[in-house]
Amino acid sequence: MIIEVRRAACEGHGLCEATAPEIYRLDDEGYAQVLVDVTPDVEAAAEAGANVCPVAAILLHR
Amino acid sequence: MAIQRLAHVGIWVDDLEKMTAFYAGVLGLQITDATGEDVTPGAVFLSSRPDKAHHELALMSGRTNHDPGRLINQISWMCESLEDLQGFKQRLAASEATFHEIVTHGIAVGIYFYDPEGNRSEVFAATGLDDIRQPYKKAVDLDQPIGDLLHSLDRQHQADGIPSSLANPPHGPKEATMTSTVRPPSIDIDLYSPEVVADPFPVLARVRELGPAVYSSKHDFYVLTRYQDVRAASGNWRSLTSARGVALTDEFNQQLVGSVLASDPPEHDALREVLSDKLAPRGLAKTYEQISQYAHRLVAELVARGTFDGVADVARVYPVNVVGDLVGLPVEGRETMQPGADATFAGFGPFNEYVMEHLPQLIAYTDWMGTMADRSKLTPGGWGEAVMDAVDAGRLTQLGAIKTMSAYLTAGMDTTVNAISALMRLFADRPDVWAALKADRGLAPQIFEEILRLETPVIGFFRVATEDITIDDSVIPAGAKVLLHWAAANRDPAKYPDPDVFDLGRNPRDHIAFGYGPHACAGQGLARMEAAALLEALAAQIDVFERAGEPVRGRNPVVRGYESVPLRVTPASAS
Repeated sequence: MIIEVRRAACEGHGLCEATAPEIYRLDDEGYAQVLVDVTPDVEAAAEAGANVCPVAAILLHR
Repeated sequence: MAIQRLAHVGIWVDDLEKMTAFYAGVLGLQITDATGEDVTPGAVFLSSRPDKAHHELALMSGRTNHDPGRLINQISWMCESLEDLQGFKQRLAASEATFHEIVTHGIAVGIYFYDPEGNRSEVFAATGLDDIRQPYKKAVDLDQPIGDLLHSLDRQHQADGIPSSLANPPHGPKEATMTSTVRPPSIDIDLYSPEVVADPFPVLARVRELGPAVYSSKHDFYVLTRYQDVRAASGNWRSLTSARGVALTDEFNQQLVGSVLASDPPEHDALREVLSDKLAPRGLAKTYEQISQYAHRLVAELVARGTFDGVADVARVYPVNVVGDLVGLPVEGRETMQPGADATFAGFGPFNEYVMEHLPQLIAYTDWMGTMADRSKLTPGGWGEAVMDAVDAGRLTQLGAIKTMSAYLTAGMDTTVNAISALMRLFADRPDVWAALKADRGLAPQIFEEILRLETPVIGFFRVATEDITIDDSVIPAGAKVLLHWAAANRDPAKYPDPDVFDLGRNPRDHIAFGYGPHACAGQGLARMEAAALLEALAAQIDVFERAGEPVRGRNPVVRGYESVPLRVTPASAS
């Protein structure tokens, strides 16, 4: 699975980080960044973090 | 006795990981099962419809035959449309697959290719033509606009004696789909009537059970009430446009068209950026301290009084002054903001008694706002001054300035005001929740998210269908108005068990009280910040929080909240 953060849409609400801090973190400019390669054991967390993005800025490519 | 259908195909592979990556990553199949890495032979099961078939393709490690040319003739996959087929061609071109040929069979257009281990496969889209003798095969060029592709297929088919009119179908595809689908059920009840507004959720639960889309004959619109449908629709701006307005009436929509609310990408994105520059959490980082100090001052006044109204003295004061200060508005005249915003929100529904009754508030607010696009009235350094800078720089007209100010002020009022009024009632009624917050102020965010889910202030906005929209087997016709009912969606039991209960442990960050997707509330970061600061101040300064009278519900048909929540508090013991 590959995670794409659409920077043009990301507003830095931070719900991805609050939900899956092991996968997502807001960078110094307040944009979501992906911390790790998504291996099968963390796919569920990656999905949960993407799912709570209020502005649909996180896309998951399988 | 009869075979029902083909169930799955299993192939031996050399490189299980690479082949899995191809079928999952490029073709998009879902992995439904797999052996552990240490198991030999390894197996991975994949399916395009995991809800219907556990696996359609099984990949097994341990291949011995390495002459792929004449082993498997093809493994064939169906996709939905010629447009999707064009998409698959691009994906395959970027993958390890190699193309064999791209052809029309008349009944279908297919891409034949070799997967990374040389097995021949096909992805095809049905054309809808039938009765064409097979085998029939002619090369086609997929790399052209879809209209041209249909014409070139017609020319090829006709040259081969196949009567074909894909570009101009004799009966439109819409009619063809209508035969297998149903018109949504209809309701007579007025979802904006005072009776429903007073107690909406039993009615909405019945509407939700009737079907994914339900037609309201009273006001001629369709309403979506199921969480998954409302969420998907909120993100689907191509099929459900905002550009014709997001209110029910044409009169109100005329005022909205072209604003950030009533536009689609890409125009929308430029307008939104102007707002999110200020409103996105990264723009707000420095303002938390300012908001928090004000919250503490306000709560100190409340504690000194002992009894007060959670609506008149908190919910209708706090957001007005937070937003008023951020914009840099004079204190005088701020009293028009909340009643004006309340009347404006009501205008998104039918022009009923409530709207008519509140026209004076709307007019007073509009008049006052019209005078605020004036540098001499605005505090330096505020958002209002930035708007006026944009006017001076020629990026915004004077009318545009008023519209942008109005976007900050109106949207910043009633949502937050009503969410806070619901919090006031919650703490009065649920000492357990209050005690939990007192014990752990870190719970503030999840208390706020759960109250937003439960009491969703803005019930929903409208869209217009740009094409026939099929949900399950229900069809909403092109051109129809569609109400995305966020309040109903947030109480969908299929999404949130026991939806009518405030559950502190639920932490429903995926609720859609702020909408979802491109039009999600631009001010939601500010709303969260206001709530966090207020809850922190309340928990710090107050010990006991209790009712001092009967709460009174608001009557606004578009934004839900309270008219009055009488409260009594005792100060926190000094620690």
